[in-house]
Parts: sequence; C-alpha cells; structure tokens
Amino acid sequence: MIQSKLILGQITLEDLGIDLKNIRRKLSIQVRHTYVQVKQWLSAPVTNEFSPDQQVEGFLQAIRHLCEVENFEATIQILKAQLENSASEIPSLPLYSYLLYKGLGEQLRETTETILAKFQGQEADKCFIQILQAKAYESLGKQGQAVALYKNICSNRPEQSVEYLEAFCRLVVCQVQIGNYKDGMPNLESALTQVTAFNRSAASPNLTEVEIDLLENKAIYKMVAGDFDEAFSFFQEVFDLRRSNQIVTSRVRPLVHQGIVLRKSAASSSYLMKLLFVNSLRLLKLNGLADALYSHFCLPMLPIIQQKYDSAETLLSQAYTLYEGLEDEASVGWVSHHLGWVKLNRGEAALSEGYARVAIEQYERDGNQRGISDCHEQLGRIYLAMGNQYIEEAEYHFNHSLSIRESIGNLHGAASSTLNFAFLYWHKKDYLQSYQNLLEGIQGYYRIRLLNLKRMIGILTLFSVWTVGNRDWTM
Amino acid sequence: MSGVLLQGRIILTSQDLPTELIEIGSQYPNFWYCQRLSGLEPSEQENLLQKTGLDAIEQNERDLLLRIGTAYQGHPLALRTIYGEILNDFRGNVLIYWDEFGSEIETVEQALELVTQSGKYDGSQDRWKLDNYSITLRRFVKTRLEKTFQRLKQSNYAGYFLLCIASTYRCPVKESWWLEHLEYEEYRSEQQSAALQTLKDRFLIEEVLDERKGRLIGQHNLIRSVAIAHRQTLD
Repeated sequence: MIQSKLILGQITLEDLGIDLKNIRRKLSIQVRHTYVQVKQWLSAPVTNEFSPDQQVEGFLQAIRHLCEVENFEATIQILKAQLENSASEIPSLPLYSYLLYKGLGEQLRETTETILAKFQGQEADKCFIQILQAKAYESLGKQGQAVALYKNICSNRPEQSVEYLEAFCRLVVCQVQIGNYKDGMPNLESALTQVTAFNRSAASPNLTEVEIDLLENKAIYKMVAGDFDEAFSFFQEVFDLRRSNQIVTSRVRPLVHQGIVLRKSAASSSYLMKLLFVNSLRLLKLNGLADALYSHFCLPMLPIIQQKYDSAETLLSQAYTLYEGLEDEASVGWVSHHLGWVKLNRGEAALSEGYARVAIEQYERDGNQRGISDCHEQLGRIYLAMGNQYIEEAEYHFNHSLSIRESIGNLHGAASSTLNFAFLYWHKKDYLQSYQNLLEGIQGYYRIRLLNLKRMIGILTLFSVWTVGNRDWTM
Repeated sequence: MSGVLLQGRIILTSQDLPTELIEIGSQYPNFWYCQRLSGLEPSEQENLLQKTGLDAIEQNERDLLLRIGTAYQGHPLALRTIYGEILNDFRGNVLIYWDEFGSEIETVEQALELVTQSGKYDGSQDRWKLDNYSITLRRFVKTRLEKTFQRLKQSNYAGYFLLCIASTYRCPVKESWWLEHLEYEEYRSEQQSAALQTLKDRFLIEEVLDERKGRLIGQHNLIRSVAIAHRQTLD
C-alpha cells in the first residue's frame, strides 16, 4: 500500500502494482496504453509546468483512466494517497480530503459519480466511494442530497459496521445543518453515544473526526436554540479536541462559531424586551414616547452590545487571517459572510455589502448552494437596511435565497426566508401579507422545534426592528 | 462571429436549440438574439485553401472544391480533412480526388438538400429545425472521417494507431505524451516523428498553445469520437 508515503505528484504505476513491461503479454493493447496514460498523469505533476490545481486534475485524470480499465483497487489507492505540499502551510491530506479542503467538491462529486457508474453491478465494495460522494454534496451545500445518500448507505450496511456508523453520524450532521432538528437532535445523541463507544473500544479509532463533528453540531444546535453560554463552551471543547487530535483542516471552525455566538448574544434578552416594547409604540405611531423610552432604556445598553460586537469581530478577523494562511478560500468566504453580519448589526450596511459580495463570489466559485442562499438573504437584508429605494434589489435576493433553500431542503433557512418576506411586504405597504408571512415564519420555527419563549421574543423583536426600527439587529 | 459589430456580452454556442431555451430567451427580447452559425463562406473557404497550401490549382479544380464546400455546408473540420487528404494522398490533384469521391459528394448534396427542403421551417412556429439538419450533416462528416481513417490505416499505420490510441485523452496534452505510445510499441524515433507529422499534415490533430505547458496536441471532438470507435478494434 502507498498510503501515508506520497508527496504531491510522486505516485507511480509501481505503487499501484502495475509493471508496464510485464503486462505486455497479459493485457489487451487498449488496456496497456491506458496504463501508459495513467503513468503520464501520475508523473506529470512533478514537473513545474503544472499549477497545484492542475496537479490535482492530473490525479483525477489518472483515476478516470483507471476506471476505463476497471481497476477499482488502484482508483481507491489514488483517492486515499496522501498529498503533501512542503511549500505551503496546508497539512498532508489524502487526495479526497484535499479536494474537500480546497473547495473542489464538484470535482470530487464528478469523480465519485464516474467511479460508481463504472463499477455499478460489480462486486467491489463501493461504500467508501458512496460516503465520499455524500461528503462532496455536503461541501456543495446540498445537504438534502447527502442525506439521501447516507440513508441509502445505512439501509444497506449492517448496523454494527464502521461504514454504517460513519454514514449515520454524517446523516445526523446534515440533518442538523438543514434545520431538521426534529430528527437530527435525537439522532445526534444516539450517534454520539455509539461513536464514542466505538472510538473507545476500537484498537485504532478512526472515527474521532466524526465524533468531534457531532459535538460541533450539538454546539451549533445550542447556538440556534439560544443557549449561547453552553454553545460557547461546547465550541471551546471542539477546538481543544481538534487541537489535541491534530486535526488541522477544521481547527479554526469553532473559533468562527464562537465569533458568531458572540454576535448573536450581543443583545441580551432584557435589551430585546425593551427594544420590542419601544418598537411596539412606534407601530402604534407613538414615536415621541418611543424615542424617549429608547433613550432612557435602550441607549445606555448600547456600549455593552458594541463591546460584544468588537469581540466577535476580533475573533472572526483572527479566523479570517488563519484561513488565509491555510489557503482555505472556501472558509475565508464563510468568515467574510459572518463579518458582514457584524457590520450590518453595527448599522454599517455599505461596509457589510463588501463582505457579503466577497462571500457570495467564493460560494459561487465553490458551487456551495447553502452558502449562496445565505448570502442572498444577507444581501436582501443589506438592501433593505439601505432604504426603501433598494426594495426591488432586496426582493430579488430574498427570492433567490428562498428558492435555493427550498431546493436543498434547508428548513431552518426557509423559515428565516419567510420572515424576510414579512419585512419586505411591510415596506411595500402590503401589511396583510406581511403579518401572514410573520405567522408563517413563526410556524416554520415551530415545525423545526426551535420555537420557545426566547425565540418568540427574538422573532417579534426582529420583525419590529426590520419594519419600524433601525433595520440593523439580526438573530 | 466574424461580424463587425457585436454588442453581446454572453455568447452561448450549441449544436442543439431546445424549445425551452427559445421560450426563455423570447421573454427577454432586448437581451436575446439567436444567430444560426453556418459553416465557412466561399471567401473563407478560399482562405482555408491558402492556409492549407492547396491554392495553386486550376479554376475547374477550384470549382470542384467549392462544390465540396457547399455540399458539406462549409463544415471546417470536413473541409480541412478533405484538403489534407487531397494534398497527401492525391498529391494535390483535385480531379483525381473527384474521380474517386465525386459520387459520394453528390450523395451528400442530395441528402442535405432534402433535409433542408423538408425541414427548413416548422410550419407553426416558423423555426429552423436545427437539430435535424445538424445531425444529418454531422453524420455525413463522420462518414467522411471514417473513410479518412480507413485510408490512413492503410497508408500510415503508425499514424492511425497513434490517432486511435490517443483518443482517450480528454484534453490536449504534450506531444511527448502522444509519442510515448509509439515508443512503448517499440517504434523508432524517426517513425514516431513521421507518424505525428502525417497527422498534422492531414489536419487530424489540433495544436494548442498553453502558457505554462507550451505546445499541446488534441483532437477535434468529431475526430475523437471516430478514433475512440477505431481504438476498440486495435489488436
């Protein structure tokens, strides 16, 4: 086996167990010459003519040729071969992880599709490839499709198998990510128990990364459920675990989430209650009284909120720099999206747009549908914050966001989108539609089991802020 | 594409024109313009003759080439391979080529004329039936290429072998990669170069310049599809 040995571009036919001289009499001329091409694609990357992206493409070309000659084993070997780039901070990774890390999920999806199509009906164990394909869909923000694949794997593998456990854990992660908390949260507890037991009992635990991913998603749930302190601690635990297990690729992620928690928790419940009350007075056209009460109750709390935004921005900026160092462009886009929210919360809509544009361009390059939909929502809010003269632009982005979220089955996102239309219709003076969307949005949160008193106050405050308020605060 | 004024910013080329595309495009008359691309015009065919070195011919030969060009609707790939064949296998003599393939050209003329007449317009929507026409022309070009391959197989097996075996490259690659296949089959260095030169002379391969990798060699999709079929028959 060649695993753990490969330095970028130095894998040979011999590593794959193929000797071009010896196969001369054994294999057909077509197969032999396909191996010549495999050799060329494998050796090409060592030359200076190839950029890193072309180097990776060379490996994928080799895999396609190996599919032509139906050499499944060699195909898997190349996918698992470690890529190491000494001239970069990027850690040594198997080819498939490298593709995901570098935002090349579409190439991984295409490659796995080719492999699965070629070896369909053959005895080769394709579970590893199926899991990779599902991971590729995850990286493209198509969690709905990933869920279907993971379910399929789970239904075809024995429950005691490692493959079943990995697929089940990843299924749970996807369920949480698309807001299917109803299924996701009970499954998450069960998956966490199983995978922890497995990792403790196995001679060489290989699902540690999955276990930490589950913990991270538990933290994400805590965050969206409004349990900010608990979420913050969980993310710290995830960060520490990744560091102690030397998992470099996703180590920065919990820092970003901590930044998000700081932003989301900046405005306390007490502040939100006061703000809701003040904005309710504005709804009743009692603006004078509202202004007076705002100055008396809300204004003194703003410095504390701004401090929290400062902390969030500092943390996110640090993560941004770390990701830049790791050449993780996809994550740079993600952090940029969240820096955009901080700016919007500070009332700096124009600055926020810059961050949102960087993020959406990156997501579009990566084909990350979930990310694209989140950025469209963000841009919609930014335009709405800029004033009613930009209402058409806001509507355009809200429509795009909802349409993508529905297509990828993002329930949480869809509920949030419904609220966006409540704000939009308000400013179009269609108050009936506005209230209808508000109710539907509340129902959406109820359906995904995220509706509690805290959330209810949050939604009503959000509605008031984006209709009669300053159009800055976000949940 | 060679028009003087082009205001478009997005150009989508397609060998098919699905109804859905027309329906969507028609909703935006200010931004939608559909231009059916034909093959080379007679003047452009004349340029191609000069480029390929087949311009030193008599007027009657030129007329025959123009007729071939009209038959294949100026399809650049078909014309290039025909010119290459005339230059290499018929020593540039168009009359001898016509003696051998004239009847085939006439068949193409008649068949394409028939398709043009029967399917030019869709009565209800006054729309060009591009797909039907395009498929027929493509079939004839493929048939022509098939004959080119057969001739190449007989006259230069190394070149034929190389063209077929390299058809599985999905993108242009270095010349040395192509030659490595002949080397693996123990062809001598001069035989390798001669085989590649034959393919170049007959315009069966395309050279591409890449900033980083230098000169690369690839195949036109149509040639590649014929070559892949022939590759299966190699032994």
